[in-house]
Amino acid sequence: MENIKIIGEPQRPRKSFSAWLRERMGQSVSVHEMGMDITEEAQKPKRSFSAWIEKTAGRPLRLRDKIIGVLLIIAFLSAFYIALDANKYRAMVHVVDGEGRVGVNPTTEALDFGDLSRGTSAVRRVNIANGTPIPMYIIIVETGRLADIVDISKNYFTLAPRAEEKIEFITYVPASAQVDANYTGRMYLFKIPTFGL
Amino acid sequence: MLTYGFIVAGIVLGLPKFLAWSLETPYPMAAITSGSMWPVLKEGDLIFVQGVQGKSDIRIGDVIVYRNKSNNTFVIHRVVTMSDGTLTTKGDANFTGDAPVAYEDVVGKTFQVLGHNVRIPHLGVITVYANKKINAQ
Repeated sequence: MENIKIIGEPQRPRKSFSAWLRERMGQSVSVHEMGMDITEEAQKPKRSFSAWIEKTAGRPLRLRDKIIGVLLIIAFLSAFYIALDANKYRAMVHVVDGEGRVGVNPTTEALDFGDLSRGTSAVRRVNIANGTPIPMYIIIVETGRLADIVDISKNYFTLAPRAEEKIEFITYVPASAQVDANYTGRMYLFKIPTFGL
Repeated sequence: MLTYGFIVAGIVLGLPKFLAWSLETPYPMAAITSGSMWPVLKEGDLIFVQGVQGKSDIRIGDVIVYRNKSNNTFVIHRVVTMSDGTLTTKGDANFTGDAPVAYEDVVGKTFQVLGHNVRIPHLGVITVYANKKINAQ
């Protein structure tokens, strides 16, 4: 036997206030509901760099990943600083006809060996001073056609704090050099702080 | 992973043997340790050596590799003159020629493709570095 009668249409359960707020605001809310403080996290997708990384990796970043990331950033910034801090010199020599001809053309801006005939050589000196309290590892890199015929007196060495070193760049014009040709290149002098390592 | 290891080991160990067989010389590769042949061959270049059977394989202008018996080293220079029993060479960047070389001391000549020496720049730097370290001691 029927002992109860439903009146009217069945009712949908009412949304809670917090759910309504979440829909409307789409952000973290703190509401007082049923006498309790409830804090709910934002449901809006994150638009940060770490979120992008997590999305790319397909999983949340672990501590190890973060440490590696920080180390990579430090390494990149260090390399960037060393490259920016490097001394750059243009180097050139002009080969002239004849024997034993040395036309001096010195400038302070570049390693200009001037005019040289075949079989002659010239030297240019660069003074490096380490004015910091940190030892610096010195690396000189040569590029260009001139690099093949330039010797460096000292390379790949550690310069002590507050010390100076004189480096000689020696060029020798071989028999196979073309007369009236300009041999040019660049010398990069990198100073890498070693921190006593 | 193991397969890749075997492949790499096979290439590393097998390539010199293959080159020695195909170029007909026990010394198929050489590193340039000085600038005496600049600018044709530069310090640090790795070159390939083609074996020669005797005088008939060598011509004036060829860049040859020979054993220098006086100090038991190898020299790579250009042939400038040829006679019956010996030939003389000179480094392109040098002003003077070398002492005469017997034909039996010639190891080979540079391997060429379309008239150009086949060289791989900078691949011989390890040999050059080791050579300088040994000479410094």
